[in-house]
Amino acid sequence: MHMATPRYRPSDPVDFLIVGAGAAGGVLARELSVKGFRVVVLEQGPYLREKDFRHDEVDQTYRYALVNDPRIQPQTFRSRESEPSTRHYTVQYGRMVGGGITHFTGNFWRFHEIDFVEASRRGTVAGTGLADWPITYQDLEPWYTKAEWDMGVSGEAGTSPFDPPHSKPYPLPPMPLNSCGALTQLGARKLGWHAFPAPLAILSRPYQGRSGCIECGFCEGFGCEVRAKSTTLATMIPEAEATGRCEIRPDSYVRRIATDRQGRATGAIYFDRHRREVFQRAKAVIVCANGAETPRLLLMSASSQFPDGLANSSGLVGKYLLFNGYSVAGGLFEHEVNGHRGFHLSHTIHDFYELDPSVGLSGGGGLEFRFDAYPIFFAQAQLPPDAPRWGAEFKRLLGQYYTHSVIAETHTTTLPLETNTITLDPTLKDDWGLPAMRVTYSDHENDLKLMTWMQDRSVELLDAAGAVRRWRAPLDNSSFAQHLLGTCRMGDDPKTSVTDKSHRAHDVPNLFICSGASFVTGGRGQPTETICALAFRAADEIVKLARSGALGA
Amino acid sequence: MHRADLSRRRFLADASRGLPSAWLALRLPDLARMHHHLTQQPVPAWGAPGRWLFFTDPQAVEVEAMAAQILPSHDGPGAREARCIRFVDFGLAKFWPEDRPAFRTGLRQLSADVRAKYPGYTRFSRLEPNWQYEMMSAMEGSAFFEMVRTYTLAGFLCNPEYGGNAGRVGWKHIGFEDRFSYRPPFGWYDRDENRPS
Repeated sequence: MHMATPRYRPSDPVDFLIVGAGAAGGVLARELSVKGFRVVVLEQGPYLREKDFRHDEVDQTYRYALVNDPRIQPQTFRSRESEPSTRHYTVQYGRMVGGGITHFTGNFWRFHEIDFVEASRRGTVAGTGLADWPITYQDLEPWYTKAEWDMGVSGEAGTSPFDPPHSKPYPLPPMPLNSCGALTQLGARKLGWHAFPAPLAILSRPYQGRSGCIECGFCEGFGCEVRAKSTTLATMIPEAEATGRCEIRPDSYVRRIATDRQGRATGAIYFDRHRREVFQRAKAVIVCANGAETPRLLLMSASSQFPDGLANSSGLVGKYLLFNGYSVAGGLFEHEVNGHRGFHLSHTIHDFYELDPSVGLSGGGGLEFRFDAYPIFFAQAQLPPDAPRWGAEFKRLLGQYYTHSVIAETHTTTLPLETNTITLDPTLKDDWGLPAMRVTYSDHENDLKLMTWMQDRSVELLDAAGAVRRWRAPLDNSSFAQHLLGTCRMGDDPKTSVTDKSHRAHDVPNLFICSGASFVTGGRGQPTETICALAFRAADEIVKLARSGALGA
Repeated sequence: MHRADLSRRRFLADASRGLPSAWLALRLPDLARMHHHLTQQPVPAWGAPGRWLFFTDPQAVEVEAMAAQILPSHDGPGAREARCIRFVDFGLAKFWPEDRPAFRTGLRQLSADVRAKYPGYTRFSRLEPNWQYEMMSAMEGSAFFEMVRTYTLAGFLCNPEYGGNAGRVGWKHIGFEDRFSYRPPFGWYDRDENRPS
């Protein structure tokens, strides 16, 4: 039975104010409201429902329907601090209730043990901030399981010999095999690698009153019209609202977290849909605004008491920004692949999750064949780099390649660098008059080598699978990212981290940070399940603190 | 601004024809609700032939001639048959005002280049096809060329409600169908008989 959604008055100090209704914010909203707390969630984007989603590539890709629009929220970019920054759209995130998980592809990989202890197990890399997490895989394992069962994940635990231990199988069987997956399997078998059904936050069968996937083929970049994608919009957020204690407030763009003389958070000041300022009071604040907007907000919340930004006594807010590495290659096959029919991929490979020391590189990754190019994007950018770009031959290739090719994608680690940052641009403002985000990012040499090394593996896989033609997309320094991680890292030492392992800011006792920003390392390219698992665990920690009275009045 | 998506209607038409209906009903408990929602979409009226929203007639003729070089028609429907130009016009009028100055400047420059290279001519569209090809080759990589290319490809492969991809000729050319629901086997390689045992 659904309770009426509450409408809290801004002057009413709710128990928790959550900034950002995405993968982490949605989970926290549900967990805290189910446990009896009064919650307001401020989300800068609109509240779209399944009925608002369209199969419309123009709207999605060229009109920023579900993401931040750089025309009203501009950003600047530079690769090094010594260089001048120029206006550039680097950081893209989901700007809507549900956040980026609403239109992510669906890959739901657990991190493995190594991701939490890479520094101590494999050694640090000089000049980087590679460090162990303050928690281990074993600490997070129950929360991965909870995320999988509460949200709905399809897959087959243990089919990869590299899988970390699972205390429970996935709740749903794997999604059906497609031709990208069959070719991944074929190539892997020839090479002695191990293709396994990709774990996906997409329902292979109906689950908890939601529809099974109907294989429409519009996952990456699109919202699911039938609620088969296990997003927080489809699962956690309605359950939070059903408690009658959680108010989701869309079109609410937070510009500052307010603090009192004791240095405690008192709520947040935001622009409502009419661009009027509102001050929502709260007993505690949880920032779940991804690895880019979280540090921007903390830096915008500077005051005489916190001159370098809120929760920033370490000086690390905004630092160690991590994008995941990736490479792309392509292959043409003799027969129809038809990757646009149904979900983009079915199998993936983790043989290189941890590299043999003889490779001489830090990190590792995964790879698979997929086809996630919608028609316009395909024509713009997915033919081989040496193909003509217009004219009769170009047109002929479009007709041949769309149905007969695969995209070989790799997903890799990146090293945390103190010089990769989110800061406030000193001059450029957004449409609300707030400082624009300035991104400083440069790939570490190890990571570029790793991308190349993994691309070599993907080319081997294409050859082994029998591609009649294959090509590499050129590898370049990262200047566009949707996986936004690592700018408010967790840790035990207040000098080298922004929050403790309960996600509590070291400097502000009633301020929590939980999102991709919390990551100490970036994993192997698929961060979403870890964001959700961290949020489930954070909720448990926060409830314990609140009930013990440790959060104060 | 939201548009109806005609493919949704086709999806439901397929479903109600009983094609995959049992399978769909099994996976989609709320099919009835979806059906109601999908059939409530307003019918779009864009892209109908008529006046231009942004271009003048001569501007439209010039851009369409460029688009026809990018996606020619001699081996099947190209940019002209897909009516890419209507998408470009609509897009500039409604969605991307920031690109208007580049189009105006680019067209002026195009005319100047035509006059300089082919005395007696003022318009790209009046040039011999091989002259057009040469000019396009020389322009490739320029900001104006890339913009016209981007808009042309989007006009060829967009949802037909935007005025381009008329008769879905772009989608048919590449083999894309927005059917809303597929079932295995999806391609040749995932058919049981084609998989190694």
